[in-house]
Amino acid sequence: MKPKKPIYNYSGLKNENLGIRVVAHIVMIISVILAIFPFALLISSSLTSTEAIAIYGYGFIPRDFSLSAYEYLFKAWNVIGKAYLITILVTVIGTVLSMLITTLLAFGLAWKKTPGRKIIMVLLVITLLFHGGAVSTYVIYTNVLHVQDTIWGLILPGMLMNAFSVILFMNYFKNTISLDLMEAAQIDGANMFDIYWRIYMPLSLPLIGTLGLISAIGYWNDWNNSLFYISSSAHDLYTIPRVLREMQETVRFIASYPDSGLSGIEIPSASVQMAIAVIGILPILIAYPFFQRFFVAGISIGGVKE
Amino acid sequence: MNKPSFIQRIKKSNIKNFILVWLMMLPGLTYLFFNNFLPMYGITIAFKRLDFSLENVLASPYIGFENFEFLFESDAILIYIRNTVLYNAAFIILNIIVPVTLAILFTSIRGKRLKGLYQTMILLPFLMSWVVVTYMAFALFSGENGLFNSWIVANGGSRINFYGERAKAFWPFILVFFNMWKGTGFTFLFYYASVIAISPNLYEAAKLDGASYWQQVKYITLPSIKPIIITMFILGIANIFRTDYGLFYLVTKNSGQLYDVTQTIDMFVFNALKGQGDLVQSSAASVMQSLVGFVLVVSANLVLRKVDSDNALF
Amino acid sequence: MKNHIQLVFALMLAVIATFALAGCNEITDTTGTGSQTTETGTDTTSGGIPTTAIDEEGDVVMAFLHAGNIQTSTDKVEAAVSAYVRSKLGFGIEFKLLNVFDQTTVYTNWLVAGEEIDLINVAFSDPSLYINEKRVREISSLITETNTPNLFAELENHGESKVLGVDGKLYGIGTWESYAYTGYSYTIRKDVLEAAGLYGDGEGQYSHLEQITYSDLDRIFTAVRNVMPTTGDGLTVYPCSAIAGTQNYASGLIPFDPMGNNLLPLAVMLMDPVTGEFTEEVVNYYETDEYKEYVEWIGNAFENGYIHPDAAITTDWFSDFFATEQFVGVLLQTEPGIRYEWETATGLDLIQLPLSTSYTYFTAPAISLMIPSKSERPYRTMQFLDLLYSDEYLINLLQYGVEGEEWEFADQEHGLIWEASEGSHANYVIGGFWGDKSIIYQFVNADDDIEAIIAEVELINSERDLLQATAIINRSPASGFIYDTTSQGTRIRNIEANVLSKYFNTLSVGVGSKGTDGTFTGPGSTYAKFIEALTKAKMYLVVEDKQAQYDAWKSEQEG
Repeated sequence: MKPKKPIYNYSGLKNENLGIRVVAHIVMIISVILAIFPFALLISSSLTSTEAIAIYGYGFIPRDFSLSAYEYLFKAWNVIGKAYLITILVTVIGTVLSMLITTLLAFGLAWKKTPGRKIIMVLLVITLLFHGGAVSTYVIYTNVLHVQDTIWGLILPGMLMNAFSVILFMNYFKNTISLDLMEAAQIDGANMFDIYWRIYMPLSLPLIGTLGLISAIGYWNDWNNSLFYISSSAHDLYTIPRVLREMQETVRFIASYPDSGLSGIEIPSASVQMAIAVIGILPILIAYPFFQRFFVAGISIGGVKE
Repeated sequence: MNKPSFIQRIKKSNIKNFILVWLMMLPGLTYLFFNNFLPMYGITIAFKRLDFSLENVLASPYIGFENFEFLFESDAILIYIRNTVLYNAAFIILNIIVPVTLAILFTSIRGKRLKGLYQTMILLPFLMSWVVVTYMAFALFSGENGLFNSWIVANGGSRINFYGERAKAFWPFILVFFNMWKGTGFTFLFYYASVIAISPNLYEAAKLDGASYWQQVKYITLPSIKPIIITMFILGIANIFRTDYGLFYLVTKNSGQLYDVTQTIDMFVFNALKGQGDLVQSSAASVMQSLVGFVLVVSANLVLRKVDSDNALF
Repeated sequence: MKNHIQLVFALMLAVIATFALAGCNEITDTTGTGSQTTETGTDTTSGGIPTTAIDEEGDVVMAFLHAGNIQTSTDKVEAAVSAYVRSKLGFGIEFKLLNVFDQTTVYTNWLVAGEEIDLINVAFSDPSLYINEKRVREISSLITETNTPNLFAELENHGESKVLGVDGKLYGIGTWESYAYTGYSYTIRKDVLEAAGLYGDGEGQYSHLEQITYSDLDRIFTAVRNVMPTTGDGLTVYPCSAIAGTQNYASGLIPFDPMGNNLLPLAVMLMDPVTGEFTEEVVNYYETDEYKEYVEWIGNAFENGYIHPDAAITTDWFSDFFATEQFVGVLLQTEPGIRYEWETATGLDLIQLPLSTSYTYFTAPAISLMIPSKSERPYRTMQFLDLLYSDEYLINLLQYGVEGEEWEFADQEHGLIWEASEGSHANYVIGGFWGDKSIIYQFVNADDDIEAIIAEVELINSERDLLQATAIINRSPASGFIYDTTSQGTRIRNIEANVLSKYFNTLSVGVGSKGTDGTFTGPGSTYAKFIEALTKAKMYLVVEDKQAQYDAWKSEQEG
């Protein structure tokens, strides 16, 4: 069941009325402008010299154009390059694992006959509401599971699966995937895993695309696990957000304690922070078309029915 | 609308399939056990006085509700609760109406590339950290060289101190705007994924019956995504006592003069315990927030069971 | 159906309760059997508590604070420190790295999880929780039982300013003593003061370290605005850098002893800025006439445009504004070294004009070295501490790394050093985090004029001696008094979170403090609302409680 048909074969809700389509385009263009606005600010600030930022504030057009922020980053490339690799690794492993165990659990919960389904459901909602707190979680992960200073310390704690996604997938499985498509697929007699893997997975690609993207962004931006489970001694496992944060906190600390004797330390300036934010976001933008294919896939299977 | 799906109709509900399904759920359940349930005993520290000289710190003695006292010491907490609930109410409602409208409108757009471009661009704010959003807000509202003030001065007006007491009335709108602006990219995609998953056959049938576009939206699209909207609503009220640090602390620059309209429970707790590493009091606050969410979710679910039992969560 | 729901909930509660209990058992068991803590766990529980350093085993594990600037050569420093300490004391040192900014979170995690750590360094944060929750152990007995002559001498000489103690018990040893000698100055660029015609010894002119008042500040602000209204880039120049943060700009004009509050003043004892005499009455700092006067003064300065419009909320560091020449003056502590640090950082000549005479009050050390209560090598750690307070080589190794590889002496006699080769300078920790700050070398650049620096260092030393001599005379009568917050802790926290964080920054920099009635202090003004909120939060109870405790302490001292 590979996605074959392109998006324009979508045969669901359609509007032939030109007025509505024009309105749709206008609304989207306004949204896009609102969205690009700050991104332009970010890129322009990263290309402005630090002095100009201090004088004129953050502007949308670079005044006093300067590449010094990126040059600074290039100098620290051995740190940032390594952090990139780790971040990509964590994001890929984490997202794939996350989608897998989330959909498996959601599938079990979507089937009305699963024994113990209701209790699991209640427990799931409980986890949504009550959190044990950072410290007890830390104790479990370090003293019981021993994930500290390993890559699993970045992948497992807190981020692999959440009740929110499980409930959304379960709903999707229960409500959105329709019966006639199933019959068209004609796989009576298949076992539950076949049904999950061969029908439910391909059909929920749009949602996997959405929630997978969220999961990936979560992993990409996460510094909390890094702070908790990756000690400074294991800085080979630093991720991009951790590196960025270490730099920012240094600046903040110095600002709070001007007499802390730190003034001799070279601090990354405002434009460097902006540049780091840019190089943190760019890979997600580059990876985005990959997630977009999921949306196409969902629809083309939707069109299989003939 | 809610026909039983194929999976619910499988006749062979034999032991083999039961075991298989449980095996499939096992990784997720194991994770829940270690990640969510084992740490839950940590909630008890909200009722304890910690003693780090004990072999197991978390087994410290109970002291009752003493750790909760700081929350209710001042009646200002009522204002913080009001702010928290009102902001969240606005967020929950707008986060349903705006993205659903966008998602339905989006189906009218043709052209693969254009669609892709819109989708990518609209997601940009979601990718950005609150720190960057804060810089942007400051670039707009700064009293010294903010865009608005530069414009006001250029037009002969006098500067407005946007972070000051007299600009208080702007902030609910500013915060709602930034929240929507940052979150809509994702919620839109999410609802769009649900809208495009609706079976085309339903529309075909409706068209044969002569249904107009609006009738299709009203009788097919909206009812089809109703369960998802309800789920999002319930998940939303679960967190009605919680707010985002980035939006309410960073974007407002924690300006004291705006507290009347911007201070929320989380920000109060953060301000009260700043840098002290006080586990017991922060977990007391968290327990209070969880309990409120719990009561609301259970009540909403009970109502739902009466009105629309198919869509109840549990 | 309803019964069904109830059943589910009953089950759920039961499951949670079970998990809760299971969780507790799980932890107790694993700490005993976990791979990392096995031997040590049995060691302490089986009654084998060591009583001398000889009985203890293994290297001392110390928290090594860095400021986000991780150096790949930290391993080398660790090896060098370990080897050096081993040669002196017979055991090695192991580093556990952490960012100074994350210390609260990371220490808490370590201590709860029972990770191996023997020495922590609590910097710039409230140590009371560490003591109240027994995160750290009491060490006075360790000092008497261990052979630590240097530590003993250090405490004899600097006792008050270097000891972190409560109720006569010792919990930590401080490294800095800068907070004990204090006083605020208006520090201004010399060239600007000269251009305004205000620099010199003449009538109406100001020279370095000349004490000034509100009216002098007003004169300087006006003159600076007239002579330098904008920078070369056409931006407004602000004569006073008052921007919100942790600073209390009123402290210069209203000197006080905070009597135990390290952050913002609450219930305090005021000092006369000129005579240096303290009143022995505890007052609400903000309700005093002096503070009211300050609010009016800074409010007028703000109205006149002498303060940055974003002062109450900016998160930029004021040196950024200094660099762009938007700020030409700053309110800073009078401590001599600071002026030099600022001059080095900005490349400008600065003049310090004190707002009060310098004085001393007792305060908890800003940075304290403490031993966690579950440390298994307290005696060895004490010996290591003893070395830290006397060994110049060790402290500078921790601070700057290995001699010859990362730095070389520029002038050994004056403790000046420079990079061994281009870019080799690492600066591992923040100045003065370990041991005695005064024996830490000073870094200079290869192109600096060494002679001038030596002259500067000597000048700083003589200024320091002068200020300290005055400061010691103007000593707060409450030196040694420790405020016990047990009864008022919740109230103080509430005042800080609900009242101070709402009003302090605004009033402190004069932003929008004018009320609807057009005055700074009349009814309806921000100041009046502030005082009302303080009264409503029962601030007077804190004042009364502190006064009572102080009186009791005082009579005990005399009796």
